[in-house]
Parts: sequence; structure tokens; C-alpha cells
Amino acid sequence: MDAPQLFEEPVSGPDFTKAHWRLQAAQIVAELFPVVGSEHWDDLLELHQGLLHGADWNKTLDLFLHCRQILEADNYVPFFRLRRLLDASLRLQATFQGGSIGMKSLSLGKLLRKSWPSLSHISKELRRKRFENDLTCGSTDEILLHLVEV
Amino acid sequence: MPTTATANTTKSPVIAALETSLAESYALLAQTHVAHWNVEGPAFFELHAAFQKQYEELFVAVDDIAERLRALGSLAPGGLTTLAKASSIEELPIEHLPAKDYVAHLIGAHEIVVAAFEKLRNASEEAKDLETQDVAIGRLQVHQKTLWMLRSYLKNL
Repeated sequence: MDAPQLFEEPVSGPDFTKAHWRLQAAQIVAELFPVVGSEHWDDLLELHQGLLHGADWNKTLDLFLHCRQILEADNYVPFFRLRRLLDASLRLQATFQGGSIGMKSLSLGKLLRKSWPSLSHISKELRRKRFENDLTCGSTDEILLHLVEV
Repeated sequence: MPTTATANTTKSPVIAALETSLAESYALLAQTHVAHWNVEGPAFFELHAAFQKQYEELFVAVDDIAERLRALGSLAPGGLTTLAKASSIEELPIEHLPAKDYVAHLIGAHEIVVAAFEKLRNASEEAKDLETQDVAIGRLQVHQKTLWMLRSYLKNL
């Protein structure tokens, strides 16, 4: 009896494009298992599943940032490829609360040129920059970041 | 009864693989040139010089590949638009990038070129065209060596 198929792969259309980049990204992560210490496998497995299933992109990006902090120095090319795929396939939207309320799309590619520990670090940096440049913005006004798949 | 002679327009696998190898090599040349111009950071001098050596070598190589096509009786495709359409190598964004990103990008580009020449090597062997196979093997050696050097640069020691 064949093993049940856990992930149905579409063969054309927008769902195919989405599935294709996720499979590529998951494959890049899978190739890291043999070359990193076993103490990192749990994190990589979570990242692998997050990319494959796309349920919560904020959480998946946080996992990516965490793995990148630890593993990129010895594995630059895989994380470079992952950055490219993420930049091409996800959009980062920032919603400003307080001051000039609005929503803005940010360039994930440009942000990821720097190695951030987490999404909340990105949010804090954006809040700091906004506070310094927007007189209507209060120091405690939140910036909510949300990742969507294009 | 008039007959209509139809020319055989089917491209041979060797010609098709040579054309792809030419397009990919040309795209790699262009990307290496961009990296040479725009690389910044503490490793600027060594990378700027290394990339120059690489694109100068590629400039001679694309000529050899195009002339091999001519020797086989096929016209060589050329021009930026034509060759860009035939290549699968992504282009570098024109922005300030970390130096390692240039190296990582070129590693990916060289891997694509290696795949193209492997296909050419295999097609030439099938067609018993040992001279074209020799061209492919020569190029594979150069790209494999360049890949070793680029990967060595990214090693964290």
C-alpha cells in the first residue's frame, strides 16, 4: 500500500507557483541537515515545515532569522538562496498605529541584507526610525508587521 | 508535378547545447562584470581584481564557443536581448550589497553554466563529436576551478 500523500502538489496556475517556491525553499533547508550539528535539527525541521505548509509566515520568518543567526556563517550560499526566495515570494506589510496611521509595504530583500535576530527587532528599529522622523508619532506607537505570500 | 523541398530545421542536440552554453556563459560574463564594478567593503581590492580576471577569461571563452558553432555550420546567436532571453541566470540588483552576496550570486551562476556544459559534453559524446566534447570539458574544468575558489572565499575559518 502506498504511503499517504501529505502534501498535494498542484501542477499549474498560481497555486503551482506558490507550491514550487515553497518546495525549493524546503529543499534548501533539507540540504542543511547533513552539514550542521544535530543540535540544530529541531530548528531546521520547524523551518522546513513552516516553509512547506505556509500557515504562519511571521513565525516562519522568525525561524529563518533564528537559524540564519546561528548557521549562516558556515552556510552562506543556502541562506543567500533562501533570502532570494523569501524576497520574491513574500511581502512585508507594516501597519502604523498612532500618528499618521497607515499601511506600507516594505522591501523584504533590503531588510534581510542585515542579519536580524527576530521580526520584533525589525519592528523596534522601524519604530525608532519613525519616531525620529515623524513629529506626530509617539514613542510607544506600535508598528505591526505582517507577512503575506504574493 | 512540382515538389516542395522542405529544409530540415530541427536543431541538433549539440547545436542546441552549444547555443545554451554560449548564452549562459555570456550572462555569467555580464554578471561578473557587474560584480567587478559594484563590489564594496574590506575585501574590495581582492574581489575587484578576482572578478576582473574571471570576466576577462570569459570574454575569450564566449568567442571560442561562438566560433565552434560557426565551425559546425550554425550561425552564432548574439546581442544582449537575444542572449539574455536564452539564459536562466538571474541578474544582480543594482544596489549596495554585501560583498559575500556577489560571491554567492556568482556561485549560483557558475553552477548553471556547469550544468549547460555537462549537457553539451554528453550530447557531443552521443553524437561522437569529440572536438565539441573537448570544448565542453575544457570549460567545465575552468568553471569547476572558479567554483572551488569562490566557495573557499565564503568559508568561515
